[in-house]
Amino acid sequence: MKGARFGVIVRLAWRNIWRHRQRTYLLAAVVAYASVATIFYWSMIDGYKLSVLEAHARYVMAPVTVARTAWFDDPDPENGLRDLAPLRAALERAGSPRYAPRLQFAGLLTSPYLSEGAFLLGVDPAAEPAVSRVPGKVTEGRWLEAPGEVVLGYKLAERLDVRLGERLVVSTAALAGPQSLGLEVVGLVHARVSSVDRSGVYLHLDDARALTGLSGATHLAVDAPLGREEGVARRVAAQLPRGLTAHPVWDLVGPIKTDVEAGKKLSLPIGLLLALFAALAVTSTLIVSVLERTREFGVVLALGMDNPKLGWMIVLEAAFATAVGWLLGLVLGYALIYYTGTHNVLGPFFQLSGEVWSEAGLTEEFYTHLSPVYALYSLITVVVSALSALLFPALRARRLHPSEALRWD
Amino acid sequence: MGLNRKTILLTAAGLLTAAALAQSPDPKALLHEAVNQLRGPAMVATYTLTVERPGRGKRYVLRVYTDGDRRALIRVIEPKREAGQAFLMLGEDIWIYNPRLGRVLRLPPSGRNDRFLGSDVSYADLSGRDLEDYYEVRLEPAAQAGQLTLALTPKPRAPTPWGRVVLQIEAATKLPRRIVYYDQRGQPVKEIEMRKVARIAEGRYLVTDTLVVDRVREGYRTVFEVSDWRVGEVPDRCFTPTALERGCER
Repeated sequence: MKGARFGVIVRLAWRNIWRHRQRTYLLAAVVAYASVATIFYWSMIDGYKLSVLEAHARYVMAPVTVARTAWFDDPDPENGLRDLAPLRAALERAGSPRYAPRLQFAGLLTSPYLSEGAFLLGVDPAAEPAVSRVPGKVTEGRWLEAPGEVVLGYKLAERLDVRLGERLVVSTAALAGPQSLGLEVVGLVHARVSSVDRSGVYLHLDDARALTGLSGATHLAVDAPLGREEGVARRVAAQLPRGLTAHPVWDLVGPIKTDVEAGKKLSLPIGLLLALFAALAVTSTLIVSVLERTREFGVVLALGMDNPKLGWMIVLEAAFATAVGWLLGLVLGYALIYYTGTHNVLGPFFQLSGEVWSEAGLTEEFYTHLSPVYALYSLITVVVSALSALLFPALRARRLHPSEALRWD
Repeated sequence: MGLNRKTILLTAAGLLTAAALAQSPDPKALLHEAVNQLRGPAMVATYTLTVERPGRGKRYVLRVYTDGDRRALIRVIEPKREAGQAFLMLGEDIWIYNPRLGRVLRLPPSGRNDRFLGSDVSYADLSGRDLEDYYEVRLEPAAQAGQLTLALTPKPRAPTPWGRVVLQIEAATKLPRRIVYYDQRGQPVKEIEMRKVARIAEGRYLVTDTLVVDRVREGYRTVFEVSDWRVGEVPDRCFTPTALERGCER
């Protein structure tokens, strides 16, 4: 046995892990648990950011907003776009992303019982679904079809005490001077996004133009796949005439961006703490499994294996069992985040927290994110914990004497 | 012979209907006249506005300058704490002067439906001709003898939140005696009753005591009493933003 080659130790270690199946399964299960926890945690953190992004991109703002630079500084119809033709040409050059013109303005809503200020959004009813999920969230009545109609967030409708089919007076003072219109409420939105349900007002673009006197729109909402808004904005911006800018949603969410980024920073120590707990679980399992085999190691040493090789054998055994656990954890972890990333199972759960959730700008939908980098995070956690755990048994194996080991109880 | 009788009967019925139609007033013209009477003549007057709320009340004394049509200037004289506030209404436009801020603020057009000085009256109730501008008018069977009833329904897309407005008009004077505003579910929301009237010229009247009742909230009432009126042309300088701060009587 003395002078045995490394290949023999590898084979011996591999055979050993299947000889002690119960112990191997336990270690693999602990490592798999640590991997799943790590993968799921980071997937949730990234999912939160993307959910906020999604809510703002698809409900509150747009994935990419194109407008005059002056409008971003002062979002008044005075700084709007009178002619949309140059923008259409620019968007064609930028690869023809889908878009919808919008006209946003401040106005006053009046019902027989209440008057309330609001930001109103004039939209092209046919084009809007390409960039917004609001049209699909009209649960009472229907989405806009023609001028003379208005769709409201259901909580706003409750406050104003207006119902479907009733008239609501919309007034504003912009380029056309003071203007008012009576619009029929045709739909109520239940978006479960606080700002939409509480203050969403959507009217036909033609009515918005008549009220404000702006012939075009204040901005264009441009479609972009989730997480790729910045790239699309850059591509569009490169084609825009002077004085026009394209901003991805993340540039326009204001303090929410700071909140989310602060939350992500906070998630790092929590993630490390989680990794520490996972490492402790792996370490304790490994140490116990080595300690209870002391007599077995004494036999191996008595048969002629030297201490360094015994140390290597223990390390390899642990590495094999950990690798099996990690691979199992990868499969389970990615299966879990794939499922929670494609099925809204977490959204209803978080909705139980009530208003706080929707006030944070989140919808009733929450999906975890899928990224290969989580495999690396879990690998680091497992490797670091395995290395720290093996330090003790490997050192112990180097100092182990066969006679002492055989008497060990 | 039977045919002849039928012909005679039909002819008589036709003639009676034609006569009745000829006698019934044109609703639009009647509404125009009623709004004229409601607005009163061009004049300067003192209005005492009493706002009653459950368990409390507040009294304002106002000096009002009106051209009897779409222009009016209202200055608050009492209470002292609010004296100097002024309101200028020029058709759709309303300006408010706040002496504490020393600034004139312009109200959006829908501000016309806002409560004036926290009372049950809106700016639109005080001036302008919204009833003529925003509604289709129809003559309805009168509730009482000597009265005419006009039912007003909003024109399509008219900027009014009301579902229906009903005016009880005194047939002889064409003066509205009661106006009821209904919401779009047919529930009365506000009722204005013209309780006292003064005759100021042949066929011209001035409502001197008006009660406004909030029909939704118990105990919410406003009383307008007019005194010290001087009928006659009001100078144009009274209807300028400058008059808000300085007044226009010299």
